[in-house]
Amino acid sequence: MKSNSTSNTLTGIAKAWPPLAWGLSLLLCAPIIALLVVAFSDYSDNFRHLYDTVLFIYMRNSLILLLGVCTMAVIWGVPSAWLISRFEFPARRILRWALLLPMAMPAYLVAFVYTDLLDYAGPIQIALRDWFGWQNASDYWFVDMRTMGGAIFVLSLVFSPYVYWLVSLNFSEQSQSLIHAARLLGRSEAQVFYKVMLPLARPAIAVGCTLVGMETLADYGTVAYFSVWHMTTAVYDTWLQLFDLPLAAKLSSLLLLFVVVLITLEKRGRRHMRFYSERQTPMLRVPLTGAKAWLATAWCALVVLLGFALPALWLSTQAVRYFADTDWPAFARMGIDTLKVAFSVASMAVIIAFILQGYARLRPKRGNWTARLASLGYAIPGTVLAIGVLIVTTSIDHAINAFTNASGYGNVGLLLSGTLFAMALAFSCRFAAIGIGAVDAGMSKMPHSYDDCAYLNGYSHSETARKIWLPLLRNSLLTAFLLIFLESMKELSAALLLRPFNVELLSTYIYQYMTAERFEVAALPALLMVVIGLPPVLLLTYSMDKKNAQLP
Amino acid sequence: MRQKIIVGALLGAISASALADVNVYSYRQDFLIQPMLDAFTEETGIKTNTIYVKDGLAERIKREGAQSPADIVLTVDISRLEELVNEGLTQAIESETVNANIPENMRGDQWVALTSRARNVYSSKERVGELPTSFTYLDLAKPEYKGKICTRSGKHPYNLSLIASVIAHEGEAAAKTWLEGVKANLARKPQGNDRGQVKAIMEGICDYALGNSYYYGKMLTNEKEPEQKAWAESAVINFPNQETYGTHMNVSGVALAKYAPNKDEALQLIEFLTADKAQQMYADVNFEYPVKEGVAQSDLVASWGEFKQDEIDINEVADNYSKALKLVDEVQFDL
Repeated sequence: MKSNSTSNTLTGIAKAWPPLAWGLSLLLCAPIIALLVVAFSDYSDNFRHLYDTVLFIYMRNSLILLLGVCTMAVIWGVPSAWLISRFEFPARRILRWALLLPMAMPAYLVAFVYTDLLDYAGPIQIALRDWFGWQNASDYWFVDMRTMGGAIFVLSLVFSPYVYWLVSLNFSEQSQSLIHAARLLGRSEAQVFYKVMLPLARPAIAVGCTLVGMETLADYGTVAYFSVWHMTTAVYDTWLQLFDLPLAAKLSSLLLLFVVVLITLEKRGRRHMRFYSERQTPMLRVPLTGAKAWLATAWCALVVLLGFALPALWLSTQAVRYFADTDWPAFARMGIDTLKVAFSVASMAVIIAFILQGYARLRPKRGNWTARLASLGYAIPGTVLAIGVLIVTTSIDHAINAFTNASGYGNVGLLLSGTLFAMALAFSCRFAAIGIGAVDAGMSKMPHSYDDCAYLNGYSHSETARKIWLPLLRNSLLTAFLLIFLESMKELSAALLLRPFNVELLSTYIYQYMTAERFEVAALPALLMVVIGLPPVLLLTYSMDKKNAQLP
Repeated sequence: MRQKIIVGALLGAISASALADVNVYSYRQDFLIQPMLDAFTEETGIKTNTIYVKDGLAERIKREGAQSPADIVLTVDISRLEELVNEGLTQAIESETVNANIPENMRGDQWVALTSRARNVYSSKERVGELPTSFTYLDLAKPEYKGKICTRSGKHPYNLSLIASVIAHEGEAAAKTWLEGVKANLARKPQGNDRGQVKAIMEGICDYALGNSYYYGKMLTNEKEPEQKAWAESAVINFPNQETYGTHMNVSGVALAKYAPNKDEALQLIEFLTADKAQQMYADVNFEYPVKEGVAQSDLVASWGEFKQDEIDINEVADNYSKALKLVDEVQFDL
C-alpha cells in the first residue's frame, strides 16, 4: 500500500481537483453573481407598483403552476414507470422507449399545437359544433386550454419523461428480494408498489420533481401561450417594458432563492439514506393477462399519444403544405449548427459534472457546495441568464481590449461575447444541473467501500477516479450527455439574445415564424428538430438497459 | 516586434466583429427585412450581417459598449427606439437625403421611422357591418359592447402603444376608466395574436377586435392558408377616431448605433431604407404604410380607403409607455 494514497490527502494530479472544481463552479455561477450585483445596484419605485398590483397574483400563480406541473408529471410518469419495469404486457417493448419521446419535443411547440387544436376556433370544437348543431359557446361546455389547467397539462406532459425515466431506472435497480419477500408475505402487487417500491423510489421522484420544477419556474414563452402570468412574467415586464433591469434581477434572485430552498429540501430529504444494495438481480417481470394487460398498454400509450404522437402528427400535416417551398440547404445549415452547439455544450457540461461530483465524493462538504452553486442557473429564465452571461463576457472583453490597447496591439474587438462561446456558456450554466444530477445519482449508487478497496490496493485518487468511477459512471455520463444534448437543442431564449451574426438555429428559426403567426412555415424545421432528437432518445433507452448489467 | 505582429494577427483573426459590411441588429424579423437588405446589397455591393433578437437587444449593445459591432438597429415600435436613445446607444443621423425623404414628425434627433401601421378596430361583417365614422377607441368601453370585444394581451407593444396614445390625449385618469371599461367588455381573457382576433370574429366569439392593419393584408393574400382569407373576409377593417384626432399609428424605425464601426455604409443603408425602392417594398410586401411622401400604398391597402391618421408627436406616445404598462397591471387587464 502506498502511504500517500489515503483518502484524506490529495496527491499528484488529484491536487488540481479542488481548484478546478471551484474554478468551474465559479465560472458557471459568475453570470448569477453578475445579476446579483446588478440587482442591488439601483432602487426604483417600480417594485411598489408591482407589490400594489399584481405581484401576489403572480406569486400565487407560480406556486400553483409549480405544484400542479410536478404533481401531474408524477401522475404521468410514475405509473408508467411501474408498469414498464414490473410487468409484461402487449407493446411494452415499444412503449418503454416511446415514453421518452416527449423529450424530443420543445414545450413551446406542444403548447402551440394544443391551444390551436382545442381553441374555440380550432378544428375539434368546429367539428363538434358541426356534428351537434351547436351555434355558439353558450350552447355547450368545452375545456378551455388558455388557462392554468391547460398550462399544467402541457408542461407536465412534456416534462414527465424526467420522472418516468429516473423512476424506471430506480425500479430496475431495486432489490428483488424485498419484492419477493413482500409477495411471499401475501401482499398484492398494488401493496408491493405502495409499501416497497414507491418508498424506495422517493429520491428518484424527488430528483425528477426538482428538474421539472426548475424547468417550470424558468419558463416564460410556453406559459404565456396559455395567458397565464406568473413570476417570470414579472421579470420580463419590469426589464423589457419598464426597462428596469435591477428590479428584474431582484425578482430573479427571488426565484433563485426558491430554487435553493427546493434543492436543499430535496438533498435533506435523502441525507441519511443509502439507496444502493450490495447484491442485485434484474427484475423479473410479472406477465399481465386479459383486461389488465390492455389497460396497462392503454395507459402508457395515452401518455405517448398526448405527449408526442398527437403534436408530431399535427406538425406533419402542417409540414406537408410547405414541403415544396422548403429551402433544404438552409435547413441543413441550421440542422448542422444546432447539432454542433448541442454536441459541444453536452460534452462540456458532462466533463464539468464529472469533475464537480468527483470533488463532492472526495470532499463531501465543500464539494456539495460547488455542485450546488453550479446548478443554480437551471431555474433562471433563459433571457435573464443570458444577460448575466453578457455582463461577464463583455467585462472580460473590455479588459482584454484595455490590455491590448495599452500594450500596443490595438483593439481586438469582442472575443467572447458575440461569439459561440457566450452562447455555449449560457447553455452550460442552464443545463449543468442536469448533468450534475445524473452523475450524482450514479455516484450515490457506488458504495464508498469500492473507493476504500481501491485505496487499500494502492490506487491514488486520480487512478480511482479513472479506473473505478469512470467505468461505473459510464452510463450516468452518457445519460447526462444525452439529456443535455436534447435540452440544448431545444433551448431558445439564451440563443436569441447571444447568437453571433448570421447564425440561425432550428429553435430560433421556428420561434421567429411562430411569433410572426406563420406556424405553417415553422412546422417542417420543428419536425426536423424532433427527428434529430430521436437517436438520443433511443440511446437513453439503451443506457437504461445497460444499467441492469452494470453493477455486480 | 515580430511577436507583437503575430499576437495581433491572431487576435484579429478570431475577433467577432465583421468590419467591411453593415452590421444590423434587428428587433424586426429577418424575413420581413431581408428582402430590403438583399436589394441594398444588390444595388451597392455592400453586404449586411444580421442578428435578430426580440428581447434584450438594447442591453446587449449597452454591454458591448465601444466594442460593439452594431451599425444600425431596426425596431418594431417607438418604445424600443426611445429606449436606445435614452440609454445613449445611438448617434445623430446626419443625412440630407433622409431628411428629405421622411417628414419631420416621423423622425427624432437620433432615429427615423421607416413604416407606419394603423391600429384598427375590426367588426363582424355579418353581425355588425361597417362602423360609423364617429366611432372612437373610447367607444369600446361603452356598456353596449359588453362581452363583444376580443384583443391580445394588454402588454403587447401594439396595445401598449395605443393605451399610451390614449393617455397622451385624454390624461391618465380617463385612460384608466377607459381601460377598465374595455376589460369589462371583453368576450374572453386577452390571448393569442392579431390574426387570432379576426379568426375569433369569424367564429362568433366576439363582434369587435383590435388588430394592426398589415395583418389584414397578409391574411387576405394568404394563398398557402386560404382559410385565413375567410377569417379576414368575415370582418370589416375600420379606422376609428375619424371625427376626432385620427386613427392611432405605430411605427417601425431605425437608429444609428453610437459606435457604428461602419458608419458610412450604415448611413447608406438608412438612406436606402427611406428611399423610394425600399419604401415601395415595405408597402407591397408587408402591407405597411410607407412614410416617405409620394410612395404609393399597395393596391390592396389603398382599397381600404383614405383615413385620418393621429398626427400626435410619437415621442409623446413613447413617453407614456411605462404609464400604460402600469395601467394594464392596475386594472389587471390580462388576468
